Amino acid sequence: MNALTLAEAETPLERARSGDHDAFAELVERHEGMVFSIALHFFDDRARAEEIAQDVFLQLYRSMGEIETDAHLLFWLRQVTSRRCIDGVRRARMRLVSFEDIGEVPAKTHAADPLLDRKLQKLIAGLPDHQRIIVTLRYQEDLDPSEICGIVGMPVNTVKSHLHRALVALRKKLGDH
Amino acid sequence: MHLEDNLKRALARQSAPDGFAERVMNAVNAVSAEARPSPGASRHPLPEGEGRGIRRGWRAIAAGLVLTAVAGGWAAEKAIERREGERAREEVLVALHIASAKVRVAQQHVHEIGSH
Repeated sequence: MNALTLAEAETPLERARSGDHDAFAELVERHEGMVFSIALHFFDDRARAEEIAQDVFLQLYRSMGEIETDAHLLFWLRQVTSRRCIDGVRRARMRLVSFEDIGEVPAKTHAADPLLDRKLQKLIAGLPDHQRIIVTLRYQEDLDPSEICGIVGMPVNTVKSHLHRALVALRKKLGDH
Repeated sequence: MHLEDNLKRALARQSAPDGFAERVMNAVNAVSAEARPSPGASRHPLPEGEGRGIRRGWRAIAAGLVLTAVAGGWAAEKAIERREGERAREEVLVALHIASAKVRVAQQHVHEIGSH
């Protein structure tokens, strides 16, 4: 196998690890939606979410040497984004939307019931920090509590308990019994 | 519809803003340019621009040393002032102590005179 074929056989991750900026850009494009959405659903603020997502990818660039596989990259991105969200809100308490603040905001996504989606997003933004990130990882990323616990660094039962409390609070506010 | 289904829909991934990857790559390029050393800086005569950069570096170091010296002098002066202040305070306390002892003696005399 000649050198060109070897280079072609390398994955974007391997090329990015060896300093190839185009390959790194490919990784950013592949995962930007996930990283941006976790931050967006956590903060309910697009500008803030973009800022967090940019920081995460800059940190990824500096840490490329540590990333071993594509699965590790996915785990790393989810973990670092979650931590940055929690740390960000601890540093400067964001204006949290109270349940009473929920208004009828025009939707921006293509959904079956955009009003309900927006209402849910606002309700999620009003949950306590850990519940919020766990709900986001559970329903955005479709992860089980056993996967979430590794990302947020909590015992699986604590994750289940946060999730349960979040769902109870959301049901109560939505009147969905 | 079930709450969990609604949550999945409300929390569906969204696209990053337009130009996001480009902005990230601009930041990455800036970071990597900062980290990259000047090529051949120690092996070849310095081009005009790089020589200026190094001179600027030396000037920055000299300015740093001057600032350190000024700050050190200021700190030493403050320490001296503080020590002088503490000494003056101690002297005042001793004077007060002596004065109060004298007042006590005078009071004793007054009592003695009164009791005769």
